[in-house]
Amino acid sequence: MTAIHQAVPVLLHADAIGDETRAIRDGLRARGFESEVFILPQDRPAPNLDATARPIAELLDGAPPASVVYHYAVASPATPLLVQSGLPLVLIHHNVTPARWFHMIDPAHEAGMAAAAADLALLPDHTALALGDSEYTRRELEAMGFSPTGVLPIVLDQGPYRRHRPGPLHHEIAAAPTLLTVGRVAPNKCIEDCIRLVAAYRAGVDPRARLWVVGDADRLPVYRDALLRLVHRLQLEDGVRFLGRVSQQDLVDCYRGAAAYVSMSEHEGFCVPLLEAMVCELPILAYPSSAVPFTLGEAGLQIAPKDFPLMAEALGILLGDAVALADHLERGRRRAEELAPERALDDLVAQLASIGIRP
Amino acid sequence: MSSASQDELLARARASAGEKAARGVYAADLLDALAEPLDLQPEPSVAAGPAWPEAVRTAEVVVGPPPPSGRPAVGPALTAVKRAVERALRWYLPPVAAQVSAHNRAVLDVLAEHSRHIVALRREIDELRRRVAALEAERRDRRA
Repeated sequence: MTAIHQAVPVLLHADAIGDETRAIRDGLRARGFESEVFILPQDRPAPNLDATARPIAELLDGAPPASVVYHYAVASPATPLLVQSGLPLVLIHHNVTPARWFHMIDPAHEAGMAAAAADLALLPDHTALALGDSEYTRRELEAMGFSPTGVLPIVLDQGPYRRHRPGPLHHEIAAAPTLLTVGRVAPNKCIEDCIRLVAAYRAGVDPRARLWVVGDADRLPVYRDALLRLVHRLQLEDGVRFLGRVSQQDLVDCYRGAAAYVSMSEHEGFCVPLLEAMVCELPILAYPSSAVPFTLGEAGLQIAPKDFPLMAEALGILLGDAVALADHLERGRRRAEELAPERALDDLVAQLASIGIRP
Repeated sequence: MSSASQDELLARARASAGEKAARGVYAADLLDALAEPLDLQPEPSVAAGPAWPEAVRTAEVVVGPPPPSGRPAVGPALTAVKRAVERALRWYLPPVAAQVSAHNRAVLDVLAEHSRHIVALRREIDELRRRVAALEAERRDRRA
């Protein structure tokens, strides 16, 4: 049986790359491949570490597989190990946020992102196929000298978003018109612009509106504190809530109970929350930067530049117009179907076949 | 959305935003507040460099009891002399140390303020660079 293994620095539960890695492993197995996941040694294992992962030493010392799928998002010792191993690599690039976004905010983050970008430059000569999780990322790979390149959209199991029983947070979020944004609270996500948008929306469309921000807000305290000052400056203390990281149940409650999803992000490699929002049939207002237009396709209300009164009015009109809203949601449903995991996995197998790897 | 339906919706939104702006719904002070840059206040170490934590750690001058001498035989006598000198200078050294500490704290405050200004200026320069790059790209596109 043809073996296609995967390598990641760490395999975690409740983690976007971890979830995708498991979905690819299971998908490859279902399509007739042998497939395991290998990780670096963990000095202090995280509580959500997936115990099914095997040490990377077994991959390096064992029988060579037909290919190793390497998930790239951060600088890690796995990169030089795999380069030196000479194993045939298929890269899945999840994109690296440009270091400049962390300039003057967190020097360690800035250095980490710069190192990740530098390490990626080690890989083109050792990669048989480079896949970006969006056309935007694929173009970046091509510009860096990777060849051949392709697109593998994030493999997201849409089931938990569709089979959902509303919990307490659903009722809480649905109690008032709530704009929702999801993702770690980081400067490239431009959460400040979501706050500005809700201020404009309150002034011009609905004074009851509020913004809920779901995602880790503690990693970059300088940025988080600046956001809190902005909330105070715009007198939105009762209108903006930072929920931090939440459970899957609470996350889907938020998607299912919010009035709309908003993304003002200026750098995304794919933007999983847009897909989650489409699966949950939530109207979307997005600033079309980086990978956002590729992920949304014809779905979502995409407005540039960031004219907040205009964005607020447009969202208000969309939410109040049953015909426009039905069309908007239908486009989201269709786009979510296009990004279904089975399609992505079939596409991955086809792309592997294009470089001669078959079950 | 399809580009036609999005264009139509945006046209309605533009008209509505203009009409509300004329009525003062989107008041000038709100628009000014929305346009303000984000008030980032990084730790001074971001601009002041890696020596900053050491500067903070050593800013406070502490006058404590003299360390005892460990020298054989004469050690206890030396310790007693040191203690006597420390007691004799107690009227003088602690106020001087307090004055130096106060000065150091003031210097740290000045440095922190300067660091904040430097950070703000760097961010402004970054923003201006981005705008210049966007304008240059726009000009190139127009020429093409």
